Amino acid sequence: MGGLRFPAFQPLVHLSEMVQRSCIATRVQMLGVAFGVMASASLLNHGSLFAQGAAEKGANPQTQAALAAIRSVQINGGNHAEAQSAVKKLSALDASQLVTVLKAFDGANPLAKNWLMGVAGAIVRQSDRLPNEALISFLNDKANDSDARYWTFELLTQNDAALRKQWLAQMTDDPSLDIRYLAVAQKLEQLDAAAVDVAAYGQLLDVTRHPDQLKAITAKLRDAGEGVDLARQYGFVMNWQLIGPFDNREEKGFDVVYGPEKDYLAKPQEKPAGLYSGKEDVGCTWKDASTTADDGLLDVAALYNKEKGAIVYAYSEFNAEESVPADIRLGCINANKVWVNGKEISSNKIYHASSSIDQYVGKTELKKGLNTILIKVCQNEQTQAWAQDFSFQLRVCDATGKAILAAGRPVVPVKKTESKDGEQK
Amino acid sequence: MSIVKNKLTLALALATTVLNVAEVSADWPAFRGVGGNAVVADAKLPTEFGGEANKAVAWKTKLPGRSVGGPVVVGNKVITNSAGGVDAKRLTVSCLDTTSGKLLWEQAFRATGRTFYYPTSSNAAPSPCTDGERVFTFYSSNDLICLDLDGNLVWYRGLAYDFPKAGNDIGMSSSPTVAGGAVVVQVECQGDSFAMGLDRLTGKTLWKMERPNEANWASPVTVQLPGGKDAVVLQSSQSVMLVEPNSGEKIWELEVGCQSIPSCTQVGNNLLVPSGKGLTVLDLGDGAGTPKSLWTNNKVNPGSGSALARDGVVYALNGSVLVTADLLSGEEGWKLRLPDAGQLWATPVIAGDLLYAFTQDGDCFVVKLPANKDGKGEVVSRNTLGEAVYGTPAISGDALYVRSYDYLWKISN
Repeated sequence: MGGLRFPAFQPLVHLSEMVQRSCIATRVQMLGVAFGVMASASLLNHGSLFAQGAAEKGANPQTQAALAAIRSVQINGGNHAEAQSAVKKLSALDASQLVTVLKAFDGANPLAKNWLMGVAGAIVRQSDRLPNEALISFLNDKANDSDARYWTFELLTQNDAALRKQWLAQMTDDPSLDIRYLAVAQKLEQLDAAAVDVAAYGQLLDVTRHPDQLKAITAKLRDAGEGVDLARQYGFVMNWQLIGPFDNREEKGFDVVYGPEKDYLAKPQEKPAGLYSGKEDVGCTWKDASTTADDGLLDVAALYNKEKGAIVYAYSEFNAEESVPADIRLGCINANKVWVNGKEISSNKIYHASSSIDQYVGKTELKKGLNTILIKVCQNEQTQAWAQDFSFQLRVCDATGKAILAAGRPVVPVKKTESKDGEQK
Repeated sequence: MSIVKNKLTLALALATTVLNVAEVSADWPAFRGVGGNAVVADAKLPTEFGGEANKAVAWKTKLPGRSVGGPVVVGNKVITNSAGGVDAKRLTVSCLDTTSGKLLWEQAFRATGRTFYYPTSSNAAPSPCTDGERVFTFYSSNDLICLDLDGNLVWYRGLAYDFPKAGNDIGMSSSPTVAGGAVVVQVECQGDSFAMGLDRLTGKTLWKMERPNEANWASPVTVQLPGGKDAVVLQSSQSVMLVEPNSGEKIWELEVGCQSIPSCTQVGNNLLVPSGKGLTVLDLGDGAGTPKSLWTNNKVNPGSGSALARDGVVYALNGSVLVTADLLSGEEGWKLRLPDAGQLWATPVIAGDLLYAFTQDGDCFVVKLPANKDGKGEVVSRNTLGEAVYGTPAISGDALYVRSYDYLWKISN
């Protein structure tokens, strides 16, 4: 993608460009109202629209100290007093310093970023002109913080539909997943209004990272007769081995370390072998279970006769092509725990409070070669109709949501008539 | 701790000490107004509005996301929160001019907690609240924001980072409330479950109380005790309790199992409690001792919206049936079915002798209330906004401010 262009950067020579400038003035005026800036006559003076960017001016030590104070905000209200003082100082900055504030997002924790958004908003509200050139330059630099870039994108475009549309057309692969989602959504709208363009949909399938968009694009391609392995696009693990049921009556089994869990944690690089004593002393052995559902949902209830007050363990092996950081994303309407290579990465004692793809995200580091995954899925004894589901779905992906596939995973293209899309609860 | 005493607080004290019915139409500082009793005695609202002609719609303003909470009104400012963008992570607080509906300011943040919710709900489910100088907005993602009335950040807390297991993927909806020097939130779920008082000036944690590990969407309610001091009511399936807002110290607790959606309401010195057995009415007495239970009636059973009271009569929407009872005796009065109403989530509001009940489809039934207990209410109109309404409207002056999914409406003659 080339750099974004704001038409007003063209020299003010020709009449047509003057008209463009006039449009920009209107845009900025509208933008100012949206962010609480009082629209004034000076805003309509073309020459006053472009304040010098922060990059040229730099930031003084007091500003840097105040930004550091905000970046030091911690959980439980840590360093709030310093941050409150810093907010007051920074909010009074000239708009030419706005990019300095935005650059402070880089590496800041999510709490501090929200404080910085408060500062940036205050600067915009009190300013009668914005450093458009510097802001666009900041947005164009994809190395800048994604949250700050998205904030900038909304600032510059939220009252200019034409500009927004023009920019989004170039941003379907933007590193900001917020911007990328908007860009893909816009492209989908355009494609949906025209004859089916399989190649274009295929390109979007590669760039989108949002599960809803993956699903929507797949539906379009399948409608056109194309085969798509949606589960593969997501990165769902389809093949499991299950063992159970173990006792979870009165929800007491969540922290009980049953045999398979104990043996797995002792030797996490191999599937626990043997016979285990399960609920009511019934012998339990492993059995194969797989799903072909687009959303990777495995219906445990169907495999265990809708057992209530029960725990089932699910085990799978993942052969990674390289060592890589990975998200292990679970959707599970039952209480659950997840281990990767013997390390617990997620634990959720929540029953029947909705479920969806990517509900629980655990971080891990896959190692090249064999990796093991163990899930503990816990069903309680609620009797309501909406509390009968006993199931899970798990996918492996990078931090953006792009699938990480096990070595040698086959492609199973599914066409429209073969679709087995699981229902999300 | 410094406690700001401002004009609003004084106004509230005067209004609530008398009967918890706003005699003078003014600000609407929180979910369901003053004390949770969504009644304004002197407001004169239209009985017919909306429709294709947008009748009596003074203005309608688009907002940058969805909300199922209600707005607050402070002076000439009406403030509402929204959640939009990808996965409802873009949180905004919008302030509009009450006269024109024009945007005065808007401030955006990013959700730091879970943003899952039932498809008809929103990450912006809790209603804001205000102490007259600041506005506090809370989200299902447990982001708590304090702005001044010009939109400037005072402080921000991401409670999902403090308590990573706090949340409910059906969505949280409990609204914050201002009491004493604190803003109080109630975050009750199967994970990290707690109530917390935060210094409203700094966001510092004043106290935290462990709460039952079960889903609860009800809101804490600020009540005023005899003598004018604030206290906060917390309800759960196990009890209803009164706490001192600055310390979190328990003043009393009754083992009355409460419902998890409708909230308590103060009416004068009485507290309407949506108990597991319908409605229980307490006499708060001197405020220091255990309150006296006046009655419990399982036929006066608020469904999703909370109960309210006017002129000694309790009103509750049980499904689409408006039920009434005598405030002090619990004796049932007239009932009125709202025909083909569908689902109602918003608490009804009362202006003068008119009750306004919004359905989730954005239709509003206007019910004329009888002059005395011998009469019976009657539906005088059904008005259509054409967009989903889940939040409780606000009344200020002779205007009704309605938050639909994506718009804020001013209904006024």
